[in-house]
Amino acid sequence: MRSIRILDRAARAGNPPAIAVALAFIAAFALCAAAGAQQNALPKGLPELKGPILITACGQSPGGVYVKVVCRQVKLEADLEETATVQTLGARAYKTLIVITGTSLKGMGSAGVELSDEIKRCTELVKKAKASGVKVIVAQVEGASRRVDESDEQSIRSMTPLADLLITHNQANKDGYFTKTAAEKKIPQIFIDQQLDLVKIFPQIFSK
Amino acid sequence: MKKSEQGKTLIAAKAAGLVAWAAVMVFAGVAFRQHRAWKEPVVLGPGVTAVRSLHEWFAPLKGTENDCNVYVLDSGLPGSTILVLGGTHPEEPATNLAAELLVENAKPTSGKLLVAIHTNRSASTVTRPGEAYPQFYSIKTAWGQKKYRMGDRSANPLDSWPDPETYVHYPSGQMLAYMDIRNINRTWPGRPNGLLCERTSYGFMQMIRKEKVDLVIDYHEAELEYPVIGTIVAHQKAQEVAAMVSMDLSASQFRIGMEVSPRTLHGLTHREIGDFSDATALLFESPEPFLDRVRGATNEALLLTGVDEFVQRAGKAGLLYWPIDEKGWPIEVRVGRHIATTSKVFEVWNLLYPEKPIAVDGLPGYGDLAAKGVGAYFADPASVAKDRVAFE
Repeated sequence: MRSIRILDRAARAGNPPAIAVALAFIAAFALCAAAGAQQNALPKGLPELKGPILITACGQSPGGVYVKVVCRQVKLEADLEETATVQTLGARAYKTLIVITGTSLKGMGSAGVELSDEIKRCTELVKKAKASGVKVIVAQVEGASRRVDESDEQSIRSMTPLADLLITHNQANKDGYFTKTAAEKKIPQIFIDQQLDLVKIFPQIFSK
Repeated sequence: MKKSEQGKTLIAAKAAGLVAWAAVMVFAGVAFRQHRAWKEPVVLGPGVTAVRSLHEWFAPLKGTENDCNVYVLDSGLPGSTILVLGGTHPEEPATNLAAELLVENAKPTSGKLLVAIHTNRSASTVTRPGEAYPQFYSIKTAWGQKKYRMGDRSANPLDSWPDPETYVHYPSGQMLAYMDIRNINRTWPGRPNGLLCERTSYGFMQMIRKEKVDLVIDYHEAELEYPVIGTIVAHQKAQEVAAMVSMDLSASQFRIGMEVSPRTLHGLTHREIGDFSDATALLFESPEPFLDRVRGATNEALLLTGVDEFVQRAGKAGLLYWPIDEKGWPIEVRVGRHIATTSKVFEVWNLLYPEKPIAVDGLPGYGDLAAKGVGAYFADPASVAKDRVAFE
């Protein structure tokens, strides 16, 4: 576990306050995750998920960073590529693709891309993934704050129906869109209340 | 009426007008002078080991309005050096109050803190009368009211004038609005021969390099109509720290998001400090309804309570990016968010970089600060030795 590695680093640094802080933080991290995950019932019909994982965001939102940090925490191999293409997918034997929905206008401006480019890139990526047997998770992990405008909506509505598994922040589902889409498309769905819930969920849904 | 009488009447009217104009000018001038000259006392807390001036790292700043105090809180033990910037935008009072709270209360037990309470001090000597900003605000303490200058977003034109027609950021060449040359969060990494804010940013960059600063934390506040709010903006080098802090705080204390610094948006702390030094940078945003364009009466009460019926109505109409209710966003909650986020950053920093720890005692928790108020953490300047009081 990354937490153990962090603790090792603290111990190697011979720093008692750092060790104490590390222990306290890890305990808090685990407690928060455990408390939250009690609500996160796993659905039937989950796809078989394995690493390594390729993470990208349809709209350059920072949600992928959260997922990458969680993957490190639970020791799942994962690469975060802001502008991953079908070539990126073919560069390594990825078994799972996670597409984060929701947009950042500043992020897209920084990357020099338009939302239409992002949707085209991610649609092709998903198509290639499915053709290659790579499972696709579409995740909205930032809740209401990443469902505020038309750009977020386009990102969400273009990617969500393409998923093999949906991971959705409860706060993003106030209008029931995700529930309805999952039911219509028969996509298994996991709801989270906070990003930390993924610390508990990922080890349950990914086999090593 | 004879011509000569008409002439006398005209002269008398003009003289009366001149006297009235002079009276208004004197009244306004005195008010402006009082504001510009007001000194905010800061009690040096148990962790403060020195008070230095920015010109010590860049001599040409000596004697300028932006030769601000830099408070050194050195544990004397190895560890990380962390610079905290308050007052980048002095119209965001939770930023200088949070920085002052650090100076008066923090006691590092490993590593070192450097704190600037008024990063753009010139901007704290001017306000916006045209928008009805109050000149001063006061924080209630157990020993009386502590009075502060209310500032503006940009440096005082008295200190930096004239503005260029178009501000061309150095070194990126990105073109920005003319007044942004007085906005210190658009002038990083600065240049030694630029205008005041460019020279100030340059001075801070010299300090960051010479003091081997590892992390810079820049406090801010934002209007609820602005999408980058209630969040941490992180340079790419610090995005893992920001993500862990955001997840932990959102699960345990209050909701706070995370944004990654856009690579092509120049002049900001979270971009240029990370790109032009070995340090990395985080910027915190707390919600300040006073800054919203749809606000009602613009006064000290709104500044400190964050309660505004018009902003609330905008929220109900779905026009805001951050929630607000009848409780508003009081100053103690906004300062509390900054202090709690800072404490959490230290924890996470120690997890990721245990070989360079930062440990700080004396900081209040979020709940305590929200319950007791900011003033509970400010000591009475009259109760300590004179050499333990500095002035902002």
